[in-house]
Amino acid sequence: MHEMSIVASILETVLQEAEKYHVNKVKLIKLRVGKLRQIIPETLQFCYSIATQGTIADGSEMFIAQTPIVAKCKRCGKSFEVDNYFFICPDCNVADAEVISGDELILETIEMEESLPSPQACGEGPGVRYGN
Amino acid sequence: MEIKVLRNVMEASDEIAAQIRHLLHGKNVLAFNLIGSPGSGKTSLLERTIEKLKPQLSMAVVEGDIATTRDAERIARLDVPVVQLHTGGECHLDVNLVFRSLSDLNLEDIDILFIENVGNMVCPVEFDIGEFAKVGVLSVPEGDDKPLKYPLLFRKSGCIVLNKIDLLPYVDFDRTRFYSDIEKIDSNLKVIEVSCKTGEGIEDWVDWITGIRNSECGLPFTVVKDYGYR
Repeated sequence: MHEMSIVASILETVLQEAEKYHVNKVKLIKLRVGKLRQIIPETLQFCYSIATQGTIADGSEMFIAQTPIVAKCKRCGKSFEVDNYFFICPDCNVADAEVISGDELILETIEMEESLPSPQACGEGPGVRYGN
Repeated sequence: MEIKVLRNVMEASDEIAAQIRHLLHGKNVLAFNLIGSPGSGKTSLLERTIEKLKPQLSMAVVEGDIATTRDAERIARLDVPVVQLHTGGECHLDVNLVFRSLSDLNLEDIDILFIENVGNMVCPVEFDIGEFAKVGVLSVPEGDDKPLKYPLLFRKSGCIVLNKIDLLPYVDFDRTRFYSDIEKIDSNLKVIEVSCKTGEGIEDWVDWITGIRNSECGLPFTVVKDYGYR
């Protein structure tokens, strides 16, 4: 099971980004995972729930969008979607293709809990009174 | 609140792999990452290869295992530098571990570096460890269905070594099906049939390595396949 290693990289990236944006609590992360990656979404989510324990991402959800494998035929230049890992060009009928996409493992977004609003952000305009 | 990140999760690991590749290229070292099931014959293939190539090239081996130093001991008997890496339970060699192992080798004196990954056909395929090419090592008794069951290994390998062909008369390995399935994944994939037991085919495998080594255009930076999105 290599998902744990991948989760370690994901968590590292999440924590780095969270620090950059002063996030106190991560609620949800969204990943884009190409189908060429041998990743079982449920396993990745399970590993994530374990790895995040005790961090600011503890209890956060992981949403995974799987993207198709797209290859380009080296003979005729046609781009096509790959099914079942068969890289056969629909026009040339030969598997002589390079992968265009489907190998990605991208952290797309982090959804964080709203931090406590600063006093300035409480009011509806200038001249707002603070407290009573 | 949502923050757009759009970062490659493997960025840090890919960067180290790129450093390794750069370092090896600079020292003119050709590195192969051997991937295959436990018992497919990765260490035996290395033993045969070292015997054959020793007169002309200097080699070193990095052995990846969960535990034991058995494979490293086998290689050390052939009097080539060998570094044993223990993953401590991990199913694949981690790029950091590989990077550290290089400091134990005198790269100036090495032409070919073989990195024998942990016995596993799935996980090691996912990780770029800075090799020149991945080599898939399979054996006849494992069955002819491996291309369809483990397609990524076939997609990412620069060459497949089919070992134990001396057992073909005794097992139900349908060669035609094996090759026709590979055709669907990558029609250009080089397959070399060998028997580490009898020595058959070892010459072809060794020729493939020396062919790359002596390639007229010099050492290509990388033939690692399918990294198109980067």
